[in-house]
Amino acid sequence: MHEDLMQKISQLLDDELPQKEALSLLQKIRTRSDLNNKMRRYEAITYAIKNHEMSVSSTSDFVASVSSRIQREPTYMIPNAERRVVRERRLTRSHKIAATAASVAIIAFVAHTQRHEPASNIQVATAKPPVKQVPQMAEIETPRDSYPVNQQINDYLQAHSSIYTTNDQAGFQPYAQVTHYSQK
Amino acid sequence: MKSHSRASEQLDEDLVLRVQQGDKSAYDLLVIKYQHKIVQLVNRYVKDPSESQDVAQEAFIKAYRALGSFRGESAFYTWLYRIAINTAKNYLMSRSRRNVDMQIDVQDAEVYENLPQLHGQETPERELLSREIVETIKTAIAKLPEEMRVAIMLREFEGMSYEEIAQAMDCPVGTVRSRIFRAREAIDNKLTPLLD
Repeated sequence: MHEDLMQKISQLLDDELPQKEALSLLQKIRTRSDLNNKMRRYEAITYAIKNHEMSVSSTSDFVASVSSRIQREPTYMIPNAERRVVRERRLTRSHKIAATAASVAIIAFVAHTQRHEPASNIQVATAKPPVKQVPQMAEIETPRDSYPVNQQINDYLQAHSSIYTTNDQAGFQPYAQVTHYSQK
Repeated sequence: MKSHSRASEQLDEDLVLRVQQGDKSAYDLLVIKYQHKIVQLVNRYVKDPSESQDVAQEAFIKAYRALGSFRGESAFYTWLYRIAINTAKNYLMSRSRRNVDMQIDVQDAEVYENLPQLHGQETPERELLSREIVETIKTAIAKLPEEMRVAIMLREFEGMSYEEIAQAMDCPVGTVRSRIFRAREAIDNKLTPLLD
């Protein structure tokens, strides 16, 4: 048995063997029972030193026995598992950036529109209310700056709603008259 | 003191990835790497040597079946040790053997080496051989040249890395590597008549 290989086994047990060499050594141990026995004895020595007793080592056919059972198990086919994780991370990061940029753009657009958009646009949007009795709230021309957004939305929703629950307030229909067909 | 190097974990991760991508032979390498430790661990619970071999094999099979969902949140060996401990406990429960304290919860697989003996089912012959081996090892260590003895003691008792031992002994890492290996070989030569 090569002394070099035995020294590498010693290093492997101490987790001091570089990855490539460890992989190469494990492949050699897989096919050489003398190396596997040497590894087992070194491990037994370590165990005995630490625990002051003899350990039970794996038998010489242990790996072969597990391997034959594994051959009867289904084979995993998880494609590029590592790459997939990396790609997902990148996508998530790019999505975050895109979402932030989109949010900023929308806010800027809305702010710009509210500041410069002519008031007539609202009239266009509310020009055809579904119920004739509904007062044309949006037709009341209001300067944009003194007409809060919430109020605009409120008015728009009311103008496009066919149901009111306003309890006879002035200028509104009682809710009992709201939904009907062929009304006089 | 490091107990498991990054290189070792990286090797495990690569092998796990290969298994997940359909390379069953990569799992053999993981079995080779951890077979002795898993058998020793299971033997803490299941004292019968042949039974502990079977339970250890079962643990490896269970680990393979669960490998598809292994995401690497913990190191592979920690994950494997937990499976082995659970397999051993389940085996004992299925055999209605209550010789083990089931309240023991091993949070970290590394601590298993420091656990007290959970069983007392040694045969007299085995106990005698065990004592003889331990005495032989002690004698062999005592007879080692000082630099070898110190190197192997720092490694095995203190868990120091080669780098740390090199600093402590004021010598190159390669020298530490060689001293530890030669110490092991010297001890192994003394054990040969007992183990063969």
